Amino acid sequence: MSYDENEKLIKEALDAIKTPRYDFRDGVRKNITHKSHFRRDKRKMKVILVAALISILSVTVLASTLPSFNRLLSKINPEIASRLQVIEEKDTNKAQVESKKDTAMKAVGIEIKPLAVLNDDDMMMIYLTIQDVAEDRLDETLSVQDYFIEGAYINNSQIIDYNEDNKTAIVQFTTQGGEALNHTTIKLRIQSLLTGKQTLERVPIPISLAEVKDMSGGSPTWMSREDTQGGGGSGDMWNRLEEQGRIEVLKPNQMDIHIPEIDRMYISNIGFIDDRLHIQTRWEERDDYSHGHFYLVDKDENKMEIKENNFSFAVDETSNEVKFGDDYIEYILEINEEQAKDTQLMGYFAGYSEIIEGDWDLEIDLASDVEIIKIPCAIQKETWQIQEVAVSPLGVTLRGIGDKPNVEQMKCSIKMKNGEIKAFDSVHTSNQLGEILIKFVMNVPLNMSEIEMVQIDKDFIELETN
Amino acid sequence: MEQETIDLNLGLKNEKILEYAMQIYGQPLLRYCHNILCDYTDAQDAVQITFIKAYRNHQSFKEGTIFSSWLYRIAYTTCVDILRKRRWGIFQNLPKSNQAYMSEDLRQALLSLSGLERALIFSRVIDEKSYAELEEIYHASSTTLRKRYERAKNKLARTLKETNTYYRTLEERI
Repeated sequence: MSYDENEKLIKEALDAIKTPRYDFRDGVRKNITHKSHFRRDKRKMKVILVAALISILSVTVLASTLPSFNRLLSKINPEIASRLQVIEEKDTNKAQVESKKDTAMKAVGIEIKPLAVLNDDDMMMIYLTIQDVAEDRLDETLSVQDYFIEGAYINNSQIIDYNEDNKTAIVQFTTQGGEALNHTTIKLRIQSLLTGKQTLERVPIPISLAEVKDMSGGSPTWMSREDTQGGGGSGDMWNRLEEQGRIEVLKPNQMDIHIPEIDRMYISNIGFIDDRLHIQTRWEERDDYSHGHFYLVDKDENKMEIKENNFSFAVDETSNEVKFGDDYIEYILEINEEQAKDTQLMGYFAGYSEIIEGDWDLEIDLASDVEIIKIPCAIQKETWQIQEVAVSPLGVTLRGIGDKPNVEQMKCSIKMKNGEIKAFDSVHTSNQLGEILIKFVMNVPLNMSEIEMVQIDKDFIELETN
Repeated sequence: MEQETIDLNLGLKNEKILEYAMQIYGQPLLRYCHNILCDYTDAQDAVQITFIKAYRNHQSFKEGTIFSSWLYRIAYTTCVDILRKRRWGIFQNLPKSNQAYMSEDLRQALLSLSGLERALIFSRVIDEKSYAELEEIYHASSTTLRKRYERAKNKLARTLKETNTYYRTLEERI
């Protein structure tokens, strides 16, 4: 091989690295032997556990999911147990190892099993256990990333418990379409898990905004609506792109400003265009799960309230034109040169250390419904009228007609008989055939017999339960 | 060399073949991983894990494949896994410096590149692998790999020249 000058320089440098011989062969031999013993022991343990359960319980009750089910019950009132429909395991739901060679190797040893399900007229909650039986890859930051149910729309998933002792997480999925799914078998597929989340919330960016130049009209690069992918947010820039069909972005990859502690992403250009601060970032080997944004702090290091938009794109290496893709993200902050002079640019970044990909297919039988208390009413709000309040262990559903209200301004809570006030964890809205449906959802099921009343803004609806 | 190819083309079907593969490729892989990880201890782990994975997944070796490319592919993905764990996603968590193995200037210069770039530099400059072999290892087209390599090479050379008087002198000599 003939070397050019740079290669000669690099070769001489790399040849200077000392890599002493190291005998790793014993380690390989022992590890191969040790691992197979470990696996045999695990299998034996499983058989003993299942046999013990069968001797004291009927087969249909819980089987090997008992410890996790008890763990779930510890998160909710024990009286609710009868309302939770326990799912019997149909398969071991191990990752299919044939499809993706590199990723399947990571997925092996992660077992996902259905635990319990709860469904009412329009919503369903599914509880699963996710256990690492081979290594120690899971933690309390576990997030189920890619998943779908045949015939239903999943609103979200979230971890509600992680047991360090048996390396098992309990994850809850909230889905729409509960009524249509009653007495059917649903198929849930999971394709990727993320663990090891870390965030850096206040990273000073090594740039003086007083020295950042105005690039208005100086950039030959325009981005059209078709070029954007995953563009976020709302506000003027997004509207402008919709109206004009294109917006000006900074000329790509003109700088190489690295951010302390951040790898695989750097600031590739920065400047003002039309009285807005544009920060262009280049992402290398982007994993889809790492993300971040920029913000400004004033002289006293207080975070400033400034609107932000961001757009993703790629650049054609030949023509240097912007095209559809996500190699670059351009963040646009609504602040002009003069206003930015005395501020400091800061960054927020989040990433995961482990991405586990596989194919876990689960089949879940939905046999019975849960108790629902429906109370007809006529509560007049600004834009709509609430005609029915339905309460189930999953939460509170408001049905009505009119114009869709701003749910962020609505307050809904449950007052328990012991005086405790329970706030909801999430809210979902839909508008079908003129009927407005707003669902306030709890992360853990409610004990219906202990509910005294529902409060919606300043209105109270009393419940009479058995 | 001829005999080595014939034996290993059968894959790592038994421990005897594994022993042979470790003897032939152990040290070259250790150097390769050391360059990518910039940490001698991590490199030892990486090579060990590579052979364990290779042995356990020997059935994934397909007849007609170049054995060394298959093994280097496993070593590369193992290094990427270690780098990922070290980085916590996009966050850097640099390996500890040990100047007995690598000068601090060189370590910093190498760490200014991505893991793939370090791997490409080593594969081309030290191992002198062809782009056809690199396609097998890095699962990318030779055009893409060539571009990445050229960019990485120029960047590393520039950094070396800027950060160390030794290399400045060396450059003058060259």
